[in-house]
Amino acid sequence: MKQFLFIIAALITATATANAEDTDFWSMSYTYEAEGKYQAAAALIEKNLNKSADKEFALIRYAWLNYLLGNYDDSISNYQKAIAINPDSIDAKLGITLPLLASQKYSKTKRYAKQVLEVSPWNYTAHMKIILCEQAQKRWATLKSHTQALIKHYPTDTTLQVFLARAYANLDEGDNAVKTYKKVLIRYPGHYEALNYINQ
Amino acid sequence: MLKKITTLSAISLITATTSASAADSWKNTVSISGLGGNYYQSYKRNTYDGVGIKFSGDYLDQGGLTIGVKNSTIEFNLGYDDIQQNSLLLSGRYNFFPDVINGKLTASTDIHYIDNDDVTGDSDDVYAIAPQITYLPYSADYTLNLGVAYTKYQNELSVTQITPNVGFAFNGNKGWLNIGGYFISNDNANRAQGVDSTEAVEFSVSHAISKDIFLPINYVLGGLMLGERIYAVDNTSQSVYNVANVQKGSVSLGCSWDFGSNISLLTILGHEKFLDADINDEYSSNYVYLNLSKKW
Repeated sequence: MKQFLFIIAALITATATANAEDTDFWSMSYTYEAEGKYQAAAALIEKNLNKSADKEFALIRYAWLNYLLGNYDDSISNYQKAIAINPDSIDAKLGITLPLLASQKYSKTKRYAKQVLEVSPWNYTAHMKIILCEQAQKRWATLKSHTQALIKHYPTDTTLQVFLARAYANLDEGDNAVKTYKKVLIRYPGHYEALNYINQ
Repeated sequence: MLKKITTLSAISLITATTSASAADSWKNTVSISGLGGNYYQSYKRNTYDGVGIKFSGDYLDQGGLTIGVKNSTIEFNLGYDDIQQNSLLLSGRYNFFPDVINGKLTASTDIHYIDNDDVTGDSDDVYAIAPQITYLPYSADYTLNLGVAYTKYQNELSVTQITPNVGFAFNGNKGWLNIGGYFISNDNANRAQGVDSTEAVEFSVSHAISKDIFLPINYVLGGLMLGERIYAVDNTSQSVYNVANVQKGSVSLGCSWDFGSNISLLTILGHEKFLDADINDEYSSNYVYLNLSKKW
């Protein structure tokens, strides 16, 4: 009986120690990240990648830190591993759009953002990733239509108004661009781009 | 099951929103054009004129369709029959945005049909198909284009054309210079003024100008064609030169007038030189071209 109790106690202690170590390396990685030491944070996660009880979380953290380090291919592959573990992860699907955008892989960026929209149709972040692709690809007519639809759901948002104004400006709809930049100035007085366009 | 319903609802919502803004998603242009010109020192030809209407619609940045009809008349000198002609144009284009090329690829095809009352039948019942591929980088400071055209005429003549083009922006993207080559060959020199192939190069330049500087003109343009071409398919003006004679050069100048409310008028004055090799008759032509368009 004594032996059995000893084994139970040893198991509890071991689990508690492992949890404490897990918590320690997570918090250390966040501390390093806050200090801008992305390499150190990533190295810490990488060392514990296969030991962590939460592999999905570790992969997303590691992918994010690699994105911050500019290692876009590594970032993409680790986000993909996280998505393979949990295909419902909106976190990972939005996360992977960051290195994809930075690598100018717009088709893939939109593919992941649209997967998010399938479960969350008006997810602002997912729409914003698609908007960034549309702007990068100079798809001004699409950008105009897209931002107009989104503004109905986010009428106070300044960023959407800026993108709409840019679309108008590039579609040679100068009057509409001015009207929209004026809406930007109401929401964000002194907005440099809006003032610049109106005063040109 | 719940996931399926949620997904279907989400997709329906996106589709409904898209449909609601469908009217805004089309960018349309209708244009009415007029052309008039005279032939100078031509043994056979006297004047020509034509009117046309063209409708063009583009859905967002995905692609578009164009349909156009044109009626034209070539008035010949005494002893030769005039030609009345109707032309039909159908054109479609689709844009691709592949990540690997960091720009836009546009695949397009123009289909032409020409019907006229040419008593010889040589220029009547003409079919042409002209596919093209165009690359425009996102920087939009240059473009590459390759066009081919195949034209089928009556009385044993078919014409093949290769048209490479390159365009460059200059002066802070306010100006644009385009250089295009025409490499045209046919399978029956007897039906083509004795030549089985012609080559020409065409330069066209345009430059935006501020409307405040001079009248409501928003850009000026010029064109120069050197070399020779016969039975050409012009992909810029979307027209077929079906009436035989060798074009031996041309020059044109024009401007676009912006009248507001998305209405503009393009005016071009041009001069062309031709050779009717069958009778060794060199002549020229002066023309004026007007194109009034409305966008919405």
